[in-house]
Amino acid sequence: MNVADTQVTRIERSTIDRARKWARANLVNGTANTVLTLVSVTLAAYLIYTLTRFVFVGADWEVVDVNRRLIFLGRYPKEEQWRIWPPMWMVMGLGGLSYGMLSRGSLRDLAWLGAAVVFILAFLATTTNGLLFGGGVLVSIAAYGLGRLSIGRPLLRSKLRLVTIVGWFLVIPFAIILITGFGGVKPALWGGLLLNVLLAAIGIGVGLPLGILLALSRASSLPLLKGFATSIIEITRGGPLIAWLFIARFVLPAFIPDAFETDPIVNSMIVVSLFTGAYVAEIVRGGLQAVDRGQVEAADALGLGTFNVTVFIVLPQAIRAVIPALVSQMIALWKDTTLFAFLGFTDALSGGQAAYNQAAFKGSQIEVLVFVALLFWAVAFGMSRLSQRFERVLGIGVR
Amino acid sequence: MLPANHGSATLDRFKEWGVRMKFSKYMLMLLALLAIGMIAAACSGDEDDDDGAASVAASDTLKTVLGRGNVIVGVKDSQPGFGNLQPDGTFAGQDVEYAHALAAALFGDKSKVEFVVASASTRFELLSAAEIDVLIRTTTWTSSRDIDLSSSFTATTFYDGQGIIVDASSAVQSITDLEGATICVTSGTTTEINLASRLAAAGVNHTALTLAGDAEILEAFAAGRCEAWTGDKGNLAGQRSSYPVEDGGPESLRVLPETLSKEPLGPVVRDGDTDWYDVVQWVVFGTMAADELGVNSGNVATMSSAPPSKDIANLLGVSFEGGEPTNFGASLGLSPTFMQAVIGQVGNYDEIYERTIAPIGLARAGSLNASWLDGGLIYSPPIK
Amino acid sequence: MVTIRWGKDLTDLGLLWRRRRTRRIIIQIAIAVGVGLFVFYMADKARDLDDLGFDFLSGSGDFPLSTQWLTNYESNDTLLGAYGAGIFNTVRLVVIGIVLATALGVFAGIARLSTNWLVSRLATLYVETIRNTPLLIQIVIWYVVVFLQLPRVEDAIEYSGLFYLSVKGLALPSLTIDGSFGIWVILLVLGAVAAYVLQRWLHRKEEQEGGSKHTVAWAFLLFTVVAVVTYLLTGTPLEPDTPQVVITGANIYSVSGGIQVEPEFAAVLLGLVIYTGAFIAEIVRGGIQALPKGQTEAAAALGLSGYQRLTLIILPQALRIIIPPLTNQFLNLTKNSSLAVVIGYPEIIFVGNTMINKIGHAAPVYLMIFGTYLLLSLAISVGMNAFNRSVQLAGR
Repeated sequence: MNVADTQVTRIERSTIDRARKWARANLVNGTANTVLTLVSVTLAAYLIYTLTRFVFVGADWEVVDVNRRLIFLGRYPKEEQWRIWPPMWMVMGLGGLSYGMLSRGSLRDLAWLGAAVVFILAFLATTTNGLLFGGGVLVSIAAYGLGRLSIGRPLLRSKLRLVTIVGWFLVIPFAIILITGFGGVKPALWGGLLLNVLLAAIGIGVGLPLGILLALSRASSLPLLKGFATSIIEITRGGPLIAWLFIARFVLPAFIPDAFETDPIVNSMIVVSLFTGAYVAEIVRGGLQAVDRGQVEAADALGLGTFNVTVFIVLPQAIRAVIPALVSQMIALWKDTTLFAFLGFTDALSGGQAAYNQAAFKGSQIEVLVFVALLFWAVAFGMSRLSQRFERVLGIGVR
Repeated sequence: MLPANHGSATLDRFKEWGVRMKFSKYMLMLLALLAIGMIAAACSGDEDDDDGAASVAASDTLKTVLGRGNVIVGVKDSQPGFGNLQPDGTFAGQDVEYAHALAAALFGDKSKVEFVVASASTRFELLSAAEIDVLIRTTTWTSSRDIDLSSSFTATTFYDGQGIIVDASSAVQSITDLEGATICVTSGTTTEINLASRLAAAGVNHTALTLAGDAEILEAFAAGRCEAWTGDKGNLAGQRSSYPVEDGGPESLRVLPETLSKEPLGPVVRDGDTDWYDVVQWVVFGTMAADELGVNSGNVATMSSAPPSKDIANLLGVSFEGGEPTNFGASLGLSPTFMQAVIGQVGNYDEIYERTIAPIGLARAGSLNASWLDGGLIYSPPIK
Repeated sequence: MVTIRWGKDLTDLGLLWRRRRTRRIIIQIAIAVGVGLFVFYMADKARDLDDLGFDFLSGSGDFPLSTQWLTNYESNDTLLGAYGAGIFNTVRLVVIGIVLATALGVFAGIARLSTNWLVSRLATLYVETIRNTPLLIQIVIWYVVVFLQLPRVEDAIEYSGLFYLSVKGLALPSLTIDGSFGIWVILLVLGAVAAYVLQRWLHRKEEQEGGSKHTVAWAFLLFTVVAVVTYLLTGTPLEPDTPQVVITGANIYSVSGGIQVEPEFAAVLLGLVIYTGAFIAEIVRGGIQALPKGQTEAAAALGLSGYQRLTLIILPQALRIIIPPLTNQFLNLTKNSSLAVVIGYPEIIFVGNTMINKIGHAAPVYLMIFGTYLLLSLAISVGMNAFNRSVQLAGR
């Protein structure tokens, strides 16, 4: 036996030993824990078996393959597809930049991102689309590099930070202008996952400022303003979103003056924004309650006006404290966009429903639903992970 | 109010997120309830005044549609043969063809149509809220819908009847065999009412299971959740012909011979809107007349330049042997030659039928939907 | 807590329009006028609609409801009856859903903090999968993947004729009521009161003398004895009603008798419970983690077992932090029960939509729906608030 062999054996033994020690400490310490482990192993094995069997044997994914356009874009016209790419590049670039500035990057992140890229590539039908997406990936990587570069360069970093923040604020207006403007696609034809994304983005984009305004009004010393804001918030929160959406679609039109020729989807967006605003208002109110009264008194003593105190002293502290709750609300909104399927808008879910109602694909409901659920899960999970990262960087919850 | 630095940070965060339930909140909720009650009371009191102001609203759909430049049509997105969304994001089916025909008649361009997906339970809300100009969604013409729901049925594009489908291997031969059975039916349709009344008349106890759509019913039926599945025969034929092979394929299903009801399907508009009603109605009749007269998309151009008969000339809005052309189109507020556009771009009734409904396994010949010349019910009033 | 005040205290000496009082008055008048105009406009528009008023509720909608609980609506009954059945269906979902979701959530929340690696991983997997997927899709998946996979009635899973589990639902034995049932219930209530008094008495003794007196066990025993004795004395007022398979018509199998749990209800319930449970798990986990670590350590030092530490030390304290967000989840569950429409379970939104589809009157129907949700939310809030107060007091 030579030296090298002994070393290998030692390493192997130590790995096995460590695993054994770990297992003993974490899995089989005590009778109760051993039983729990056994039950869990059975459950895990069952889950893995059923899922693998379903994905590779039971399911026929052709329905998703044929109808991916319906699920991702709905009735969005094919010849206007180019309009989606620039905002997408912008998102990818900003994503890369933000990631580069906030995080050192890890193998684990890289694995997740790589999986996402491969997944998306698999669903782009044409080579052109693949190349366009590949370009976006390159933009993203370049932006990441730039973000990394800024570490240790305060001047560059402060500039980049401004670019990132302004960019994130502009991306949705930019997307909407590019999609609708210049003889573009009107909201009634937005569809598929694109519609869900736009709905969620607009809902949070309008709902967030609205919610902050409502929360501030509710915290106001003016009784009428306070009462007004409280009524709006509580009445909105009183009913489920689906009821509000039905009202927006079927009752509201009768109350809108004829002079306003409104798009039904715009009505629904207004309602979703109001709904989100009411929930955001309650979250921000929690944040306001956490701000120390002394802060306002000190600012008052310095002679700052109501506006200055509110915008520069109170709000930053209040919102910082409730970022996790705000992200949860965003995720809730993202999932709730599936309710638009009830209203006759072809979102990802209702596009999928149409797909499994096609003569060729009867009975493939589960494949479609699992796929659509996976799409929603991926985005929501990504958001929650990003927010956790963000919280850690900003040190939220740590005092 | 909340003292800072009290307890751990996480605890504070939890308190911040939590609802703060105060007395004022209950007061507000109670007030809201009270307000609802008061509105309710006020509404009930107002009943007499309302009738006077009733039918004022929206009676100029035709003008609105022409001004807007497209027609908004409520269709179905999940029924092969009638209205169904294709993988490329376009609609197909008989109802959809009639939407295109309407656009061709109004604008000379069959693509000037905007589709809105109408579900069984929301279609009349969409129509009465003026979210759509016309509803073409396998909708059955009934007295109560015509009267209570303030809608007007224009013409019948498909004569359907309610049927029942059962497993081919089951012993059920007629509805009297369904004692104790669970029967699946789509919610918000006329079929659920027919089912109840027909089976009650036959003295058959049953449970109706209302589900949201055909796909859900298919899963439930295949699993044995219900023994029978009722719906319009036109729909059932489509469901049967595309029944999944892994569940046994079309051969494993059998349609009972009985027809439970009459289900005339066709376009619906809002009440009190005669100009618009006429347009929708005569576009449909126009396609039927073209079928009777033998005008189709292939020969419409030659027939327009040299109409073989006065009837064809009237239909196509051209002069016959130097005479004055009829004002068929003009009196509807449309181009005189609107039927040329309809037939040229979409086709006559037979062409539409063969393109959409025949593929789901329903032959036109010998059915109620054959032309009256062949013993069917498709019949256009004379155009003159 | 900060209050946003308008205008500066020091500017009261300035120009009239810059004075705080002036601004306050102007802003409030603007709001009052704005709201007034809006309400006036809406009321005016509402008068033009011809579908207001609630008289239509006494008419019939001619539609059946496939699932009912405690109600006996038939398709030619009034619309008010249909809506009432819808309310019962919603309440059934909400009540059972809240109980089960809380149980699952507490279990999963504790499991996430388990020292057993596999258990905590599985709990995390559950929470992260379910929380991030739309409930709407989950309900349909549960319906098709779980409840429609059950065997047909002829092959039902049964246990000695007591219960039947098939694609047509779960049938459980139930009890039918006899005449003397009322008297028995009154005696039961008395027994419960006596048991409570006993438990309090033993508890006080326990606090005075120390040691465990098994307070709950004794109280439970007393109650059981009272229940059994009075049951026999009143002449066994309950008759068992066991479900059985019946064959009707042309070889059609169904289960009749007992309590029936329909698969549609079960699917919606399962969806709601699993979904809300994931959120409750996070709340429970956060509540436990918020406690100082010293609590567990001190309890361990006192020699309490793992189970005792959890039930006697950790959970009672965590409860105070948990209740407010938990109430929020209960309210969410109530509102989310509306998603049952996706598989046609007849709760209030479904019944309301069917009514509108049959006879119109959208505005008043939605007014009723909102009133119902408001009432339910109010009931939950009041109940939880009372509970919250009792817990907070007990702790201090």
